[in-house]
Amino acid sequence: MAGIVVLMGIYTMLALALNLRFGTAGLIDLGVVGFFAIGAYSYVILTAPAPGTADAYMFGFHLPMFIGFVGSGLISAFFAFLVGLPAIRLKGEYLAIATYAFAEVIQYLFTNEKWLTNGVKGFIGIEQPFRKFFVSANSYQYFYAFLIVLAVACFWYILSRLERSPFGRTLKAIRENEDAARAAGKDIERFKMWAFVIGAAIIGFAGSFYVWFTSLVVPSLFVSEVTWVAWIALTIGGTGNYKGMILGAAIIVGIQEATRFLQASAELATILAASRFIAMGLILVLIIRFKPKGILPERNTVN
Amino acid sequence: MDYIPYLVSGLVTGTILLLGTVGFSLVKRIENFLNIAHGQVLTLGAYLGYTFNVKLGWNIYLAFLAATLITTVVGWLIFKVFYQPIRSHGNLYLLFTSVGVAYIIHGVIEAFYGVQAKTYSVPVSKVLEINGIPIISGTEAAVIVLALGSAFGLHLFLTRTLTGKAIRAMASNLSLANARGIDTEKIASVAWLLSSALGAMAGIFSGMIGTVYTDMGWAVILLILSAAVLGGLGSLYGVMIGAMIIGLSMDLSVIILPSSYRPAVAFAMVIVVLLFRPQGILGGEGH
Repeated sequence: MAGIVVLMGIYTMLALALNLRFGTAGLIDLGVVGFFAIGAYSYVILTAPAPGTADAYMFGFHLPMFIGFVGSGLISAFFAFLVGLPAIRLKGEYLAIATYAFAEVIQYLFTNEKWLTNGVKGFIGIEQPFRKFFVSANSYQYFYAFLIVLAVACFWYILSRLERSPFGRTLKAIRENEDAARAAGKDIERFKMWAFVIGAAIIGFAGSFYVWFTSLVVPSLFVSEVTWVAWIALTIGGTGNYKGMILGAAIIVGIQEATRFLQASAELATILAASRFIAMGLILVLIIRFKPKGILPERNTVN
Repeated sequence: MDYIPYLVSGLVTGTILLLGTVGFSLVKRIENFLNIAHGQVLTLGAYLGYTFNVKLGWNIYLAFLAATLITTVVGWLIFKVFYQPIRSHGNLYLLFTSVGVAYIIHGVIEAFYGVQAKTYSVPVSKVLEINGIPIISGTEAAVIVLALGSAFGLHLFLTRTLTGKAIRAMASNLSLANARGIDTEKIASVAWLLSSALGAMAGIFSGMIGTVYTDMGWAVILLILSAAVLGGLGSLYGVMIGAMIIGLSMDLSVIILPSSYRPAVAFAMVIVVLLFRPQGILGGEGH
């Protein structure tokens, strides 16, 4: 149960970041998982102990957890800056394809460049924050779920402040009418870049939280399904509505976990696993068809 | 001479990708959205081909025809049920609906066939050898000829028939085509039928060359997107060249890069092309 709350929280963070990028700035980013992976690996490489004889990786800086956490957001943001430098000017679907391709390249790099990532073996047994204060793993789980809720609340607070600030209002103006915003003297590319970079920082932090939850990092965790699930959470919950994002994340994680918990015979297990995809697809299709603005739509703050 | 087998397999990959990408671009031009579910149409064709070929023991070419036919109809039904009713919502909603549709098709296929990869039973064909180096197998040659033949057939259809010309008219200017009295609904249906048929063929061809697996749709849609961007999103002839370039460069890259990077080569090319020539190498709609 605590695990579900944690996953919900992590997908809510991804949805919050996507909302800043897409809901506020209108950027279509299909490379969420790329920044998520960069965040997760940055944390691990910064905090991992020096490599042992069986390890293929060369760098393990063994820095304190806190520095690893800050690093995961900063490094992810830095990569977003590098990607955004040429890509932020691309129109809608071109940006979508560029970021999608970027995330795939990242996955191939992290799978193959063993000197950096230890390849498919990845990193295991990652230390968790405040773990030493808890006797059993079970009680720690609940504490960690609480920590995640706290983190989501922090992101929520910061982002909603940001959205109401002049910066956020300019982004919305750009989303609604780019030419008018340009005519009003706004440097569109700079504002979009900031939204892109801040979004990446949040996704990077979410990467750290994910690493603590799974306590291992392997490349196969970072497949494009993560990106789609984040988008589905945002779309069904309601772009521009924070409560909607939490609801969307809850629904999608609920679907995923429900099919995992139901124990069944081997033959039925395949069908159950497959029905997870069908349920995810169906709910997305149905919500778009009948409630295109999501279950909890954005309140109109533009006019 | 060492590079010739890579060149041949690049040609095979390229021609298969060409069929998949042309179908994708047809929908992109007519409906103006990125149809992420197109990769799953290929997968569906490939699995139906497996059913007829292996489960029912049909000859591969007979199985090919039957699977293409069914997939074509299913593709059209998907258009009627899922996409047509929400057209007015805008192209981003269409894109996300196609993501939903992709998951539904993926799930249905996995529920029916399981996660184990499948292989067709294609009769072992003679391999053409020059100086003892295997150059091309009969199956590979058949795939190249059939795929290029279908692409040429599509070209004739688009340039010589009234329906084909109407498709091209709609692709370049929807409202003008409408004003000129073209029945755009009928033409859109034809485009979806064509797109699904081409997708199914691409799927079955890749089944004949390699294996069929459930994640294939997600892998292939990325290559299709890459080829489409390379050729200039939606330009029908541009993407054919884009597909050949992607196919050849992926298979030739194996000579200098570890083979695990093969697909990454395609994505890296997309990123480079988007940075320097976002309108695609052959022009197209551009920025």
